[in-house]
Amino acid sequence: MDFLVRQTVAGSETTDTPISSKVLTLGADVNCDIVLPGLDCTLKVSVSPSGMALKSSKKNLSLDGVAVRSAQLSEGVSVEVDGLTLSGFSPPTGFDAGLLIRGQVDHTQKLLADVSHSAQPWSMRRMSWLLVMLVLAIGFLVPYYGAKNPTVAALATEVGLPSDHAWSSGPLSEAHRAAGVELECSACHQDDFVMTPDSACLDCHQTIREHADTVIHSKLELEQVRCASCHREHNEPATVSPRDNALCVDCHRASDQWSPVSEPVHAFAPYQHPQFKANLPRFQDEEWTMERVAIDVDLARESSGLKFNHEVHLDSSRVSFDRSGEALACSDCHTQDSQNESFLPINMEQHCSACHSLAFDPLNPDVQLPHVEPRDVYAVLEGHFMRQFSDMALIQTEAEARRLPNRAKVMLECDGDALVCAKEVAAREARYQFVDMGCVTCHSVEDVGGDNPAERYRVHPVAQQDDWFAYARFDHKAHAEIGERFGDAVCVDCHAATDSSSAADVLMPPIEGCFDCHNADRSDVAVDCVSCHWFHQDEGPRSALLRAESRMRNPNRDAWIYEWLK
Amino acid sequence: MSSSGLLTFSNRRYLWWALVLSFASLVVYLSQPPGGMQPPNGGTWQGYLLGTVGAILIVWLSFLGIRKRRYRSRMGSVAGWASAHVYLGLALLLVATLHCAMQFGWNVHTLAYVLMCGVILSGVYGLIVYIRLPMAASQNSAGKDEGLWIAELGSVDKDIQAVAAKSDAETQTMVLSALSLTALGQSIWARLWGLDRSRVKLNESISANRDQQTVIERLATQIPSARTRREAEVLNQLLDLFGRRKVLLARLREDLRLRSHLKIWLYFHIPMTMALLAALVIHIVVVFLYW
Repeated sequence: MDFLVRQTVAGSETTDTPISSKVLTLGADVNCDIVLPGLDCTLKVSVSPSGMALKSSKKNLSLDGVAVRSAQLSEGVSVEVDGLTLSGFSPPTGFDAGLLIRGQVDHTQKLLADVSHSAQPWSMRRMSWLLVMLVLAIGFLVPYYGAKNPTVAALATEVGLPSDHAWSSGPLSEAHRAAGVELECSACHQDDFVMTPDSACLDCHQTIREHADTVIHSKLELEQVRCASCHREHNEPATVSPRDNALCVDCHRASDQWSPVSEPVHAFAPYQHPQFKANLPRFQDEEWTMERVAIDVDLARESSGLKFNHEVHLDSSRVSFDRSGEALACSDCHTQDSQNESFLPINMEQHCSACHSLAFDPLNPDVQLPHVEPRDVYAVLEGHFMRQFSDMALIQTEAEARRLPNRAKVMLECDGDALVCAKEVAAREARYQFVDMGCVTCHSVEDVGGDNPAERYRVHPVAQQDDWFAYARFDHKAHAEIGERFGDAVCVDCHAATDSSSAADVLMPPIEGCFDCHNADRSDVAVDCVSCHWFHQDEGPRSALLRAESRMRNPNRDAWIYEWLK
Repeated sequence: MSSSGLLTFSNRRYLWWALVLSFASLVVYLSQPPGGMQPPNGGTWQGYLLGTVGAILIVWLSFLGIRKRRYRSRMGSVAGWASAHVYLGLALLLVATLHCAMQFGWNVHTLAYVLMCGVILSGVYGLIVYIRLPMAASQNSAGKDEGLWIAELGSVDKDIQAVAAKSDAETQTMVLSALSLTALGQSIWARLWGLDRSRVKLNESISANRDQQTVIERLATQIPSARTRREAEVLNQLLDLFGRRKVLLARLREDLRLRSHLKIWLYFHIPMTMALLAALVIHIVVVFLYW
């Protein structure tokens, strides 16, 4: 089909454009046969036996003032669209149809529309709703239903959606993490909108006890104080036990309220904390008791039942190792226990016998007395000498051969028969051991008199203190090196062993020594109350029991919360 | 309301409010001793206090959008609200940071904080463009309003079409397609970055026509090889017209760029505010749900 398109614009020339096409297209699209910039639609012109037909992509053709989508461009008919007037005209020979376009599309309208339309990245309202829904779903609904229903939780985890762990306000303490508590929020958060109950804590902490005797201090109602009111979780840094001194000092600063258990304390600083009180063993009425005595008073003398001179034992000119000639070190006798606080008890066989042999018979230096009660010691002596005197000739020969010292000769001087001599020598040796030198070197021995050597010597009972400060703890390991000092130098900094000539000396250091480094009045290495003391006592009924009973007596303790929530 | 009025409203009254609020928040925060019962966080009484203040601020700041639409409201002027919105919104950043004591994690609480930061940052951007762009826009438009520039462009385009009618078919196709394929502010991203995605039909294929440069260069190379004086004249006229067209389009594009920056931040600010309100409700509910 051959079209002749004639365009006339006022004030310009008329241009004819021949187009050969089945359908003639006009529009802003550059692929149209006739490009009309700014035209708001695409027009198609086709020729049929009934004439030339115009069709628009929009219903914007104006035919006699009526909006139409298509029109028949028969003679005398003109259609207006977007400022153009289209009509047919008789084409010259060689053309099938002639289309006359008058006027111009106002390109400005299109540009104005482009510029003034509100270009927006998205609908603000829709985006708001989308985000709100997303936050609600991911932040609340999925975790909430996951917490109520394990299947939902498993499904959510499968697709990477959060669980109620996303509600955690901070990390759990190391202990609770290691114990696996953090895996299950509901281990502690048992009911919605209800604070973590004590039972959640005491399920695991079954051996924990209250701070003080709940009968004596019933007014404090200690068992009514929620565990979590002190032990806060989800803190950063992750701590579960408060180290706040005020928590202790608020009560314990009172001058008379807690006497004699506790004296007034304000801080760990001079004149603000009482002197250390050591537990000193006292033997009275045939039994040991402990007496708490401030260690800076004259009364603070130890009565362990032993004699020992630290000063001598630490002086290399008097006591030293045979081979090296070196003095004893503290650690040769004192071995730390696994808690790093106390030391294992001193033991005769392990720590003393290398020097203090219990051999008594110069003829038989390998035979040693047992480290037992005096009666049993005497029985051993008697038996030994009975064997000796039963073969007197041998004794004489051995004595000559070994050039025995006088003591041995004197020891064996006896004219009676074997039994009498054995008893006499055994009694003499027992007296030597318990009165002159031997057992009595280390032990206090009382000679109660009488003829029976097996019964007349009483060795004072021995008590070794391993926990001098029952209400405090101390980490020896942490104090093993101070500055550039280590080993015995550090030990004797606190324990004045090198100057102690009596076993009655209490070698526990008084508080003043601690203040050199730890002093709340200066910015030194800080120590809190709980660095040395613990809050929960290790005596009395267990909190699990006590608090369960208290709850049974008063089941509506938290009822106000439910009331308030309603 | 002038842009500077936003900051200087009523002798910077709300700046002082915000400073007092910030100072008070700092004092409250610092009253949590470092070795105290528990470290500073949202769960101490100071934390609860700062959190309550923060939550009230967030809700109140959100009300600016509603107040703006209540033209008959007598609850202070919109200018006053906007000034308070700016200063107290900035103070909120400090209040909320002290509330959470800089403790962050992968949880709904930090989600609320992050959304809040997003809202405040987009707001700060909005404030910056609000202060700077109107001046740049008026310099660009040289005292004329956009409509006048468009009308001038329209007239240039009409002239181009009229002149193009006198040219050969190939030039006519190029020129008309250049008009038809002129892109001006069609997408928000094109507006924001001042992108010119105009094209032109050359030799039956479509090429880029950034700053109308392709057409201008083509016309310039055609002029020397014009066969008649009339043809050279037509090409010259077209070259002249496209030169003007280029300047006009650049001005309009810059104007659109500036105006789109004045608006774009709101598309982040408002939806994030709504998401923040949802996260805030979750934050508060969850804290007491798992008390």
